[in-house]
Amino acid sequence: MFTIFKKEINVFFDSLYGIIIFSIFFLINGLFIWVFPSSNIFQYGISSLDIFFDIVPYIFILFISSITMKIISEERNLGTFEILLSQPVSNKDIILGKFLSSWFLSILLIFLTFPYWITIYNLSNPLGNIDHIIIINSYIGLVLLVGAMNSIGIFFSSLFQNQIISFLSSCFIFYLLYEGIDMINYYDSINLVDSFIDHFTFSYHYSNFTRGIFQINSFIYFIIVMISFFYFSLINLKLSLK
Amino acid sequence: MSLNLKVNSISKIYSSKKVLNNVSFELNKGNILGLIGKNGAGKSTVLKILSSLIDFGGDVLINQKSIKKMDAKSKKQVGYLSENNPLYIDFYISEYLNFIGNLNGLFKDSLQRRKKVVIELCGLKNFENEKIKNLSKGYRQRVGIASAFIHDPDILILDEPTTGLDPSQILEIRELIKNLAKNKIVIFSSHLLNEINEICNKVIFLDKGNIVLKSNIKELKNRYNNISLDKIFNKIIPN
Repeated sequence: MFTIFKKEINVFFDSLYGIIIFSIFFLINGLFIWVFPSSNIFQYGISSLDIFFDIVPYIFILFISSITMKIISEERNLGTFEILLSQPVSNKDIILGKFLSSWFLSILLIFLTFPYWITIYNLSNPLGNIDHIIIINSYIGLVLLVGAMNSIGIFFSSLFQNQIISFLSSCFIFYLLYEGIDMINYYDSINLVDSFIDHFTFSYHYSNFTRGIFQINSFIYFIIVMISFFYFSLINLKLSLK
Repeated sequence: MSLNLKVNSISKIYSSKKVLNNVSFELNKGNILGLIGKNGAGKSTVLKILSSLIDFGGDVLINQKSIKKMDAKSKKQVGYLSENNPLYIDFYISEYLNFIGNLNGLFKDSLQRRKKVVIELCGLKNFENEKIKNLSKGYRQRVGIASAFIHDPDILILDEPTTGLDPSQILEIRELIKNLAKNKIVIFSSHLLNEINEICNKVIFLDKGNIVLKSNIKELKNRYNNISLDKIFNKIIPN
């Protein structure tokens, strides 16, 4: 499993693709958080990273879809997936290695945004007047959110051989789970099921963390999503070998 | 140590079409089996089944142990070169062999030792630090073969190993396969009957998923008054 994990990370950073993806992530983030007048932190007037944590899930929708679409779809297209299948590694190890590598890349991106935290700390008046608990919890929520997204993305990558379809399906499902279902709330006629549906959305559970609350049920929700889609990918892989 | 491969009535159905029908054969250490058949005869399907790449009906036993009951790690006994020889073309040869070696549980000294052996045998000595994408088709084929036996498997499965090679490379690969087969079982498919004739000591003719002939090459040629394998093939499976 570790060999596959290592290979995925090396392949990502050895290619121009990886550098472009990372650069675009920071460019979009930087523009929204520090430059664009409608969303930048200076206009917000409060020393917090709320804006960052509001915007970054949308950026991850694109980022994770573009990483995971390659991870299995491309290999199956090129035939290199057969190399892995013919080796003495279980399907579980293959999927786990790939999942952990894409989650690791997402976590690395999150980790690289820590300077934002330091910047906000230094910009606050009086110095250091920021709520670290909210920021820590938000980061934990973000790590769990991207874990769930990666697991779903890998499932779609295992489902479709066409990378574009895999990318679009992942984007659509991420958006639906993050915000789409929540939008159903606007229709009065289905108000009765609103609160029930809410519990299935990423945004509901993620917002618990961004409010500074570590809720165990939200933590369990993300873990269940990760494990479920990991097994869906495994089942799908097994079916494709039939 | 003795080595035995027993293929018991294996079958395969792809979307309600039977592509392999009760194929059975048995091989021992030192056997080199050539699978011959027209396109779609089921050669690659047999090889994929033996490499545990696809599900199948029937059973395959390696030293009396069913491959269906073996865990993933037991796949170490089998080395496989696929027909299209897929490779991670952005890898350096050395890096690629390290990757395959690691997957097969080879690390550090044991990996370096085996890498040295396969690089030498496959004539890749001066290309170790070349990217695979910069290699010719023939050299890519060598990399594929090198990766198939880096872990020194007991059974080597090669699907059309000489495709795309020039005549001198074909001769080298033939010699390599013969050398490797001394203490292994080698199974390979080819369209080149001449090649089967040169390398193999056993042969199976497949037609539409069925075995139509299974024989020792010498016996077969004796039976047909030493005519070429091409002619024997055309007699048994006419166009």
